[in-house]
Amino acid sequence: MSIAGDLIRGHTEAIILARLMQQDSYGYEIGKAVSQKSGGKLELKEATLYTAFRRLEQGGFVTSYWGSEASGARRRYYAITDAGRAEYHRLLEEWQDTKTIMDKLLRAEAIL
Amino acid sequence: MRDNLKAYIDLLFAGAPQSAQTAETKAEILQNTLDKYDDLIDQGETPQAAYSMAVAGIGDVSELLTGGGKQEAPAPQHPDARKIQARKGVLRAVAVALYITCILPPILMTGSRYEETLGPALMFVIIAIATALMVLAANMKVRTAPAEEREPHEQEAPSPRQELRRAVQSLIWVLGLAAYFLVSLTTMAWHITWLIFPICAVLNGLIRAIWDLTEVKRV
Repeated sequence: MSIAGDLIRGHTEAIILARLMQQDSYGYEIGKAVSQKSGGKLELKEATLYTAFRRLEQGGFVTSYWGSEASGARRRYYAITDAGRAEYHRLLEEWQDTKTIMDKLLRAEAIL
Repeated sequence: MRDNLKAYIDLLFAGAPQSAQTAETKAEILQNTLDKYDDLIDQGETPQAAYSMAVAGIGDVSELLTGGGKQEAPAPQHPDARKIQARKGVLRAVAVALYITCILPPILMTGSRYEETLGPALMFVIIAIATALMVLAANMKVRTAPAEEREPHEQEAPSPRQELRRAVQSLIWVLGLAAYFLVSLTTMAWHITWLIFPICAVLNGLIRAIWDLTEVKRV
């Protein structure tokens, strides 16, 4: 994926919020879920994820906490906030509009 | 290989400013990278392959290290740079004006008893002043930190090419001056020979243009 990959990466924050709407999660788990859901076509780099996490946290859309695991590994979990939920819905609507417009524009019509 | 991963992350963050935030980010990235590694091993990958894939999945952390430096405006121009640029411009403008007006003394003194002495002498004085101003302007440089030097023309250490060009240009001026004297003193046609100076200026411009055009652009 080249160009399409770039386009999708612009929506990283929306993708993360969507995942967090379902449950709290951490970096690798989100990346893995994205990879599986996209059928292996979209691999989000750790750096991309973390940059998005920072921005989301600064915007107040997510909060983070350190979870304690049985294995002793400390993972940083992210949870969506109410503001985050609102932002998710806004981004989803934005995407739907974009999709509709692009479909119209890309459809090859016989009459100009 | 797990230890290698830790070492790799340590290297990645080696140059980063030490803060609680970067330490946390580092721990987070390390743990997630280890998770990915373990996952790949479970899927049957060899340690080497798992290591490579885990490392490849990290991406570019430089933005995280500088704390989102991307949003910062580009480093502001050195505060004195603009002042010096303005000063250079003034010096050059004055110098050019002097070059043009240097012919006035001989013209004004034509017919007087100073025609062959004071007139030309004054002209040369004006030319000397103008040339001195040009040299001053050329030597004015901004003291910038190494990271801020961008313009090729402001390099502290001029490339051999630049040196050669400057040498050629100096030579043209010296030859022009010598030719001026020779021709003028033999023909006494001061009212014509001054043209040598504008000609030298044009030649200099040509040399500079040719040099710039033929310069190999190094990335």
